[in-house]
Amino acid sequence: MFARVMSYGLDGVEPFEVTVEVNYTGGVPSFDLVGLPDTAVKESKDRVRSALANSGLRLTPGRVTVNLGPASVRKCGSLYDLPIALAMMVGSGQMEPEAVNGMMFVGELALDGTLRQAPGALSGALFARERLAAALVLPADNAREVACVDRVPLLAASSLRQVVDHLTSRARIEPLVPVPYESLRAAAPSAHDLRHVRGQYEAKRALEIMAAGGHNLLMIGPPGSGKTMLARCLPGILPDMSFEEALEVTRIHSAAGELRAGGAMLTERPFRAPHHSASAVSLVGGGRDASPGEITFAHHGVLFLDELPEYSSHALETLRQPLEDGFVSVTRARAHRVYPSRVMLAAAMNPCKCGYHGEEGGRCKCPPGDVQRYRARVSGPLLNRIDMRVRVGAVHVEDLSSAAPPAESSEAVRQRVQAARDRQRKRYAGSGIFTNAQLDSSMIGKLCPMSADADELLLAAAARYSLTPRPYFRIIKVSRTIADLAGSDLIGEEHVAEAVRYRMLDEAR
Amino acid sequence: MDNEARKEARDFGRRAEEQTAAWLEKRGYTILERNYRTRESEADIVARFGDTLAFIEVKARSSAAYGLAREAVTPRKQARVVHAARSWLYEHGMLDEPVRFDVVEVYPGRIRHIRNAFEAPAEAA
Repeated sequence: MFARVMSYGLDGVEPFEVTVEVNYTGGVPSFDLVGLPDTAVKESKDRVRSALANSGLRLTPGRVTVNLGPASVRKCGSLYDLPIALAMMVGSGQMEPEAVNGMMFVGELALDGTLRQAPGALSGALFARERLAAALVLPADNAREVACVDRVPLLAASSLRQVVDHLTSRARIEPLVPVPYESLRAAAPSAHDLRHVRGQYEAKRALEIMAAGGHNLLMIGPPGSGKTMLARCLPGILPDMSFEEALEVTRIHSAAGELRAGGAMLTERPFRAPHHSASAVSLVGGGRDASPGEITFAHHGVLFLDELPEYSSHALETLRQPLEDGFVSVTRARAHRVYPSRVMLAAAMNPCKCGYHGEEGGRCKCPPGDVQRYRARVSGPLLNRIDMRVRVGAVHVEDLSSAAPPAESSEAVRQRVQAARDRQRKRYAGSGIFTNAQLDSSMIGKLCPMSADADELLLAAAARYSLTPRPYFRIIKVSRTIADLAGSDLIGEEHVAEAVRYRMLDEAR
Repeated sequence: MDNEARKEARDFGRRAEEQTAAWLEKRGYTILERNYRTRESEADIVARFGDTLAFIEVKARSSAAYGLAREAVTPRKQARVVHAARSWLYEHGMLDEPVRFDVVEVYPGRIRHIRNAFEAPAEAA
C-alpha cells in the first residue's frame, strides 16, 4: 500500500517541503531508500526499524520503497526518521492514511524510539504556519525553541509511541501554548561586567559608542591591559534584540545545529570569538554544503577577533565584503547560499611584536621597521572598515587600589546605549535600517544635520588627513552616534572632534 | 575432517531439519518443500503460515561453546537463501506473496524460532 507523509528540509536556513512516500508490497522483504539521501538519511533505515520494534509497533514484513521528494534536491540529516516511521505504519496498513493528513512531522529517532532534537525547528515551525499545516509534530527537545510561534498547532512529543498514540486517538498531545517573546527575555546577567574593569575610561567610552551605533572597533594596547576582558563585556551592554532579530538569529543557529538540546530561542545577541587559527571558510562560510561561517553566527551581534595580526591575511581579507554589505554569498559546486552577516566587529591587537610600543619608559624592544611590519599584517582596506580605534594602555596601579571609585556597571551603560538605539529606531522607522552604522551616504545629508562649527571641523580634518569618502562618511556616522548618546539631534563640534580622534588614532602617532 | 566426520555432521544437520519441520507443523505451519536447491543456492524449509510464505534456515549446535547458531547465518548465507527464495517464488508464480525469512536454532533439547531474521539487501547503492 502507498502512503505519504509531509516533512520539510533545509536549504541553508530556508525550509522547503519534503514529501516522504512509502510503497509497501508483498514479496521478498527488502528496504530501499531513494530521493538523494545523504548518509545520515540512509542510516535512518536501521534507526526507524529498531525504534518501531522497541515501541511495540511490529511491522509486517514486505518490500518497502521509501522516496523523499523532490527527488532532485539533496536531503541531509536525520530529520526524516519520524516521518519515515509513520509512513511505514500507514503503508503497512497499521494506521489510517487520514491520521496523518495535512500534518507535518520532523525528528530523529533513537533506537529505543525516543525523539531527538531536530535542527532548524524554528524555520520549520514558521514554514508549517506559512503552509497552513494542520499541525507540526516535533521532538520535545525543540519545544522551547519554537515556543514563540503562534497561529499554528505545534505538538511536542518525546517518543514515537507518543506520536502514534496521538494519531490513533489513544492519548492526546496538547498543542504548545505560545509564549510572548518578552517573557523569554529574563535578564540573565552577563558573565563579564564593566564594573570589574578598573580604569580604561577611554576604551569603555569607545565600547559604549560602538554598542550604541553598531560600529566596528579596534583596541590597541600592550598585553595584560584588559582588551579581551573589555570585549567580553560587550554582550552586557548591547541593546535588547527585537523579536524579528531574535527569530533571524535563532533560525541561523538552529539550522546549523548549534542550539543546545532543549535550548530556548536565543534572546541575547551572539558574541563569537573564533581563535586566530581560524580559516577563511570557517569565518565567512563554505565547505561542501556551503555552510555558514562565524560572521553569520555573529549576525546581529559581535564578532570578536583577538590578536588581529595573527589571523591569516587571506582569512581577514575575505571578511571585507561581508562586513561592508551585511550579507555574504557562499558559492560551492553543490550549493549557492546567501547568509546575513550584519555584525559589529571588535578587534584587539598589540601595538608591536613585543607588545609595548608606545608605552611609557621605552619598554618596546622591537627593532625599527618591525613595528611597521607587524602592523602591516592588517591590511589598509580592512582597517578602513573599522570606524574607531582606541588605545588601551597599561593599567595604572592607583586605579586598582580599593580607594579608587567603583567603576560603572554594565547595566548603567546598557541603559544609555538602549536610549541611543531607541532614538535611531525612531529616526529610521520605515527606512529598513536600524542603526547609524547602516546609514548609506545618500541618507546622511538628510538625517545627520550638523552645526556650522562641526561642519568646519570635519572639512579641516578631511583636508589635513586627505580623507577619502569612506572614512569621511564613517566619521559622520560615528559623530551621529555620539550625538545620539548625548541626546542631541544636531551633531555638534565636540561630537565630530571625538569621532575624528577615534578614527585618526594611528595617524596621530 | 575425514569422511566419517563429514557424514556425521551431515546427519546431525539432517536430523535437526527433520526435528524443526515436525516442530513447525505442530505450530500450524504447512511444510511446502524441504531442501530446495538451485545451482548456487539452497533453502532448508519452505513453509506457509497463514498467508505468509516463510523461508527457514535451520542451524544446529550441539553446544553454545562455538557461538550461537544464528551467528552462523552470515550475510553470504543470507544472500543464498534470498536467491533461493526468489527462484522458488518465480517457479511457483508467487512473486507478490508476503514473504518472510526466519532462522531456527536447534540446541540439544531446545528450539528457538527467530521470525523475520533478515531481509534482502538494499538494491540501490
